[in-house]
Amino acid sequence: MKSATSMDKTMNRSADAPTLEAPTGRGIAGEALHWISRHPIWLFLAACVIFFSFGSPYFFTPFNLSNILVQSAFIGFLSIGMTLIMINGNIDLTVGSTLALCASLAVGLQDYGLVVAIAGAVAAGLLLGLLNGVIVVKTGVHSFIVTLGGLIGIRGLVFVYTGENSLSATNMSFLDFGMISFGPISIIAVLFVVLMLAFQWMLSRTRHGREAYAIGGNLSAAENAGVKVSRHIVINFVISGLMAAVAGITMATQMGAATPNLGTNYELWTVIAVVLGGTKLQGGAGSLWGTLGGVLTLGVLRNGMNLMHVQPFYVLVILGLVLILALFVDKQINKE
Amino acid sequence: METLMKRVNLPQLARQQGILIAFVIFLAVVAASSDTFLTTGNILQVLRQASILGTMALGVTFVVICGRLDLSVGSALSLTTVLVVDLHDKIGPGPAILVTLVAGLLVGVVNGLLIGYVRLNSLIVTLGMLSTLQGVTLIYTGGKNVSVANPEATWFGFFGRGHFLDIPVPVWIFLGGAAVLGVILARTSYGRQVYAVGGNETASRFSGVNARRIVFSAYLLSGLTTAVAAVIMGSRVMGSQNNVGQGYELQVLAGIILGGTSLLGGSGTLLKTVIGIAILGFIENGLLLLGYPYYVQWLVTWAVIIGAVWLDVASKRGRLFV
Amino acid sequence: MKTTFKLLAAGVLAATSVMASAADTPDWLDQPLNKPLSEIRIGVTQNNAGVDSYQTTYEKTLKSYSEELGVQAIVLDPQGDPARQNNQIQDLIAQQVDVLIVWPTNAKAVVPWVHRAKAAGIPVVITNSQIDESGRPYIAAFSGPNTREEGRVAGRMLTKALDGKGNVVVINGKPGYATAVNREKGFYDVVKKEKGIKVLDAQPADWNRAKAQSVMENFITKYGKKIDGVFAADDNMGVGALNAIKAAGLGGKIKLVGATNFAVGYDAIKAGDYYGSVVQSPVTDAKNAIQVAIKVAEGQDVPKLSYIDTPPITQDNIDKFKRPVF
Repeated sequence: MKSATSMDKTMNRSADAPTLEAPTGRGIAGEALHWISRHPIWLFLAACVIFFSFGSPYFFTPFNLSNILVQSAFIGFLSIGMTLIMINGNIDLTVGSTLALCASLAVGLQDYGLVVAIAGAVAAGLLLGLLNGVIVVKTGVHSFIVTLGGLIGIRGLVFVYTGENSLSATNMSFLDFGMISFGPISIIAVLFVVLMLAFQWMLSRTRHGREAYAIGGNLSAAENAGVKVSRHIVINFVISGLMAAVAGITMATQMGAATPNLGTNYELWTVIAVVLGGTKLQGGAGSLWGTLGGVLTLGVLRNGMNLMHVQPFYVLVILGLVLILALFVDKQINKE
Repeated sequence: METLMKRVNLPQLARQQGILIAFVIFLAVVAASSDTFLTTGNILQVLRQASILGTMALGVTFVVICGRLDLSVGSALSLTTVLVVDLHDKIGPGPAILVTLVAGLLVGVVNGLLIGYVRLNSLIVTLGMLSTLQGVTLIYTGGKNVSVANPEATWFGFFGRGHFLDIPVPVWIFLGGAAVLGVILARTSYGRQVYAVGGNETASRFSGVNARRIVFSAYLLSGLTTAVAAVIMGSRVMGSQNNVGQGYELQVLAGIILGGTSLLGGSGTLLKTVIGIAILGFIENGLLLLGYPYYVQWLVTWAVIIGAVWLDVASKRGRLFV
Repeated sequence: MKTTFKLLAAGVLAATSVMASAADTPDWLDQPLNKPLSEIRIGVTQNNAGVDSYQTTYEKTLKSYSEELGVQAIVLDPQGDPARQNNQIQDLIAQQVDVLIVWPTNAKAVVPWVHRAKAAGIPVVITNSQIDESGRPYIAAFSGPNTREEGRVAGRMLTKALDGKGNVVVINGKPGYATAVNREKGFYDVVKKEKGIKVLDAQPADWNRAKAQSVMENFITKYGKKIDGVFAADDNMGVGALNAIKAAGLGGKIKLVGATNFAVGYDAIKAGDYYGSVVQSPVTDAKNAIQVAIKVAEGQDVPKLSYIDTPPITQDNIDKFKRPVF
């Protein structure tokens, strides 16, 4: 029975949803190797880090490593929601536009007070996520199409609200938030790691998490097993919207401003990060450990190439080829 | 249309052609408020402006029917437009066009190999190509704009600026291409195989269809039609910047989806694509004539895309909600 | 004889050493150097180098001029993304450059990180496109065109071309981008005061020629023969508009004025298709930025605003100007 929410033509079905594992006789080294084989992106990340450490003396410094964390955090927030949604077998292309709308609201509403501004931004993210989720489950239209429309339309909302202008933050505490740091580590990096860990815990230890894999793996079986599929899917879209709001708000604190074209193409980079991390587009598999690896890899690649002064034109080519190569390698590994 | 085969059931007809009916209503509303909207001149202009997007969408339709996606067409358009304009003054318009078409085919070859033969995921591969081709374009030009030195003095202008029987040449290329490819899709065994691969790839293989080759060929078509669109674009503007195709990939998909072709593959026609692209064009033009800023068009597109597909899937399952 | 020879030799030696040190210090550096030029490291984050030839020529000049002077320049490009530009500023601070040159992708979004750069002891020179008012206290200097004035220059040209009477349409640059905003404002500064001139419509075309062509086609569809004049925020877009005007058979009837005179604009002015434009050389822009940056890195005093020349160019004075290289 073809599930209404997975495009199985574009994806080759491979059932590797994680199962609850019985203790094995592997030992620590064995466990580590097994973990790496499940998340090969971390090997690639390590290789990149080593490469860039030799390539530039400024790479492996606390200041720079902390920068990488912050620079990656925004795509990182988006990728948390995207991972959940993709495990379901769906996709959310609205995250970039929603990020922009939430950023604009967080900055633009500051005249009414900081609380109103933040609340407004969060509410917008939650509502748009809810809207996406409800449309997907109620109409049966594929999430790719629903969120493609949203990508275009929500950007329109951004322009309607900002009137093509950039908005400036007026509230000082808002700007100061972006500057808070614990030693060299920015609060935004901390937030990113905390959220990542929290949602990974949710994914692996709660019923909601297990259901995500079940739905993505075999929708009708999940339904028969009593999973409330519609509610689950909507919740994940709401989470994605919330993450877009978090990303937008934190980005605005860093810039003290919101620009109407903010977040353009971010949904594409988020998908790339999540896929690099090993989550499958057809659903049923993936984890936030992998996503974290993918997000950091993208961040390290960009930062490293900046520090090594790689011409921006070549950066585009390299990123594109890395993506295709990663897919290719993943396919080879999974053949065996 | 398939419905004519069965007894005509009005409510069912309304649901199945709902998008067309809604569109006609939209046309009527705009025409009432603007006396330039439904003039021949304006209609031809809308079609002409839609020709570049439309020509690209013809090839991508084949890809979608096979159950795949192609997000690289925007960057491919940038690359091929830059090529045809830059080479025009260097090797002459004829050879420039030839090289451009070959370049488009090459892009298709790369996509087709990776997706058809190595069987990698099409969304990700073409995303990667989107980035790579953009970089290649920039490296080729070194970041500069390219221009044709004497736009008035070359026959190259025919493709983008010429008229034949009072109809702009781009429209001929778009609609003519749609007709030719439409016949191929509907009347040849190749076309049937494309549908088969999209409908049920495994089953199609048991029927003797070489699915890999079919998918590969779909990407060749996508690359080729993009290169043809580039010729139109280059001829119209007689110049190009490096990012000229940015965003086209999503517009192309939106147009194909609006027309009613399913992203799951196995169904759809080129006529549907033409209608979908035309709808996008008329929405843009209509809102402009009504005086709305360009971003209002995005809000309308949001509603229309979801609404159109909803009506379509609803009619197929017989009820509005799941 | 020997003494004369020695004197001559000494004289030649003295002369060459004077010439050598004069070559070491270019004449625009009027004070002695604290740091030799070869030890200066300039970090640059641009706007979007692939977008049009102006920016590409700017980048090339940055690199070649730096090489010529012997300073090290690290040139990064954020491709128009303000978040990425802030990342690049961070990365340049990490590399402890002596001075930063920033071409803001967005006037407001760069302010916090420019502030941090100053706090980290790295002076910032803003180039080409102004930073927001709130950021002015944190920068060492601005180098570039006075874009508001450019808009006014264009406004005066178009007013003259139309003899003070007519309907105009405006094709803007990228929405929200400082240069686009300032040129539009400058244009309105002049034109809105003219009672005989009416602005029918204004649409952005993102510095893109093909888009400008579509925008102009749509203007013609909507307003037809009512349009008497067009202001395009740069010549690259202006030429796109010109294509549309010619295709509609309105060539010669509509007066076109642009800004940032590209080579295609220069040719169009010569041919009489285009009324006028504003000269702005990316080579001058880049060289000025480097010079100001070096002075700042050397701790010398610089004026806060270092405007480059941006004179108007029309068919009347076109022979005074060389054809632009971009």
